[in-house]
Amino acid sequence: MSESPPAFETHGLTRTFPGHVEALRGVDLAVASGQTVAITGPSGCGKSTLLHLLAAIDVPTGGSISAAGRPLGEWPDLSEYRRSYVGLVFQFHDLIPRIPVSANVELPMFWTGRSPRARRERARELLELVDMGFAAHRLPTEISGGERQRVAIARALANDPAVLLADEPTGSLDSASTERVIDLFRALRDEGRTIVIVTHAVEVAAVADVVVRMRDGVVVEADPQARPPVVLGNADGLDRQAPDGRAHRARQGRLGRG
Amino acid sequence: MTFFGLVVRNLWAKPVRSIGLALAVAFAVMAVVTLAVTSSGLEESAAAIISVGKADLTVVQKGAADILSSTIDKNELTSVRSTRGVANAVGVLVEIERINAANPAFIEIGIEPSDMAAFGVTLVAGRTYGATAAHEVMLGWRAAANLGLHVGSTFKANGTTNTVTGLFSTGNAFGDAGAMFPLPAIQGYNRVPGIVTLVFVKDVAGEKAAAVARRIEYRLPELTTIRTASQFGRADRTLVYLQAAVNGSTVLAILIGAVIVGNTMLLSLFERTREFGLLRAVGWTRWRTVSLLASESLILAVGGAGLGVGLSFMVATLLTHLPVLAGLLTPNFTADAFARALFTALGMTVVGALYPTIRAAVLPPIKAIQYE
Repeated sequence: MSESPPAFETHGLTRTFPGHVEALRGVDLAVASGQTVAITGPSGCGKSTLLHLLAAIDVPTGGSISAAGRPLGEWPDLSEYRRSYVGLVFQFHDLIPRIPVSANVELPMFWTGRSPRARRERARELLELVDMGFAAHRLPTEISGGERQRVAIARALANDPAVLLADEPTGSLDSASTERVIDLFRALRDEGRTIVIVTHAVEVAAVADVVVRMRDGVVVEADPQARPPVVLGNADGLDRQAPDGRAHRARQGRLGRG
Repeated sequence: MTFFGLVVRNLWAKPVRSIGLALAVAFAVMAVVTLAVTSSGLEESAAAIISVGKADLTVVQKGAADILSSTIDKNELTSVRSTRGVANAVGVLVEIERINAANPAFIEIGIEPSDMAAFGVTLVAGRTYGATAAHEVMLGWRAAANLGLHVGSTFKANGTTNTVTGLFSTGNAFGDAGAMFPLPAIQGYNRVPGIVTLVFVKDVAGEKAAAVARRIEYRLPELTTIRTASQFGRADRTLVYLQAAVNGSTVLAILIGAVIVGNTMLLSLFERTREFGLLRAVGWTRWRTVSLLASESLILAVGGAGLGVGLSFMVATLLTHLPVLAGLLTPNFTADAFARALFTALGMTVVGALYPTIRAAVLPPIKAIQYE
């Protein structure tokens, strides 16, 4: 039986901003399909930059990214990649305040060939999934921050993407709202969806199969929790080993759920 | 939600701004269209003069400031008559006189009684005036109705009191709203003996009007010929200048409107930069994101154009009722006026949207999302 390619694989990934600010200094990382990975580290360590590159909303200055075994440069249309392969959740939910919650969820489904009715039904289904069905016709300004973040997660799932990318999804929430969002990620993890979460929050990282720690633009440590590890490494080519002794197969990206 | 619904929502989110922008477009369109329809009305009125005589072509002085200041002398009239292919040439003197407030531009035509049949004049009541009669006049049937006059009434014009000898019809509304005088009499009133304004030419059967026109222009280079209203500018420079003014004001309106539209769109772009980044992040292409902004402008432009035409109709109607302009302006709402309205509104939008659209298109998603 053939193994599926990793959801993501990066090699020597760098991102340098104007002024020679090196946000990423050569990141090798592979995320197996179906795995939940938490990327943690101090502010400014490059974790959000890494997520933006994986989401193809930013462009690396060096190295490569493959998604589903295919280099991003070979994807015929990055908009299609952003629309269908990844779903992105931001720290500040970024809902459009003028349109109802359900219309916000519909946004990624525009230009996918779905009829307005099909979009509406799918949005309703997703809002029910995140327990926000009651707010479908409300404006984002009429619901709480935690509820907005759940709506943002529903929006990220609109086109049933292979991977959910979340950038500090609980960063602006109170503890009760954080707990609900964590429950949501846990449920998505349990249904086998690939998730990459950038977070500072220990309780969010606890949802992950693997916690990747970054510092100064490099991955410094991977901590496989109860689940199989993510493969990781750095531009120096040194493969790292998980604390529990299981070997990481750097650059091979063959790990799935075991 | 549909794409159109999203566009409308976005516009309605800032109602004052949207309505303000639509009004700006509307006022620009109104100015351009009002000028266009009134100048078109003037052009039509002027062009109607040449169609009174139902001629194959009209001969006028080349490059006259306006057609009524054209002067053609007796010798030239004789030359026109003797040109090969000319069956008949009727010289008329046309003057405009203010009769009263309701008739500030009353048309008076000096014509020999013997030329009336060739000119297409039909007597509908009374008799023709005498060829050299000093105080006789014939009224067009419309003019008689408008003035409440009939055969035997007196009609004051050119500083004299004239007896209405008959009523005529030319089959042309413009001509039927005027009066006809014996040619020597009206030449005398205006101190232009032997001069006519226009010569109406009927070709010999089988002759091509264009060929006859060429011959006349060759023989009499100081004269020109008009066969259609579109050739009117050959003789009437005023209308040419007026048309140039209309075109110039259209361009000016587009430029001023474009600055307003561009500023508003740019403001909208700055305010919604994060939103555009978000749309890119959820899979909208660069051009689909831009199309959202462009569609919003397009709706305002089309709405503004419609409103502008409506306002123009109102303003033009009001102008015709102003005592100083009554009877002088006849707005002519043609398809060209509506096309001009749309052209102006779209021109403003396209030119105004150019920079904001390009700016939105080249904005990287990450920059847009991180925009504060």
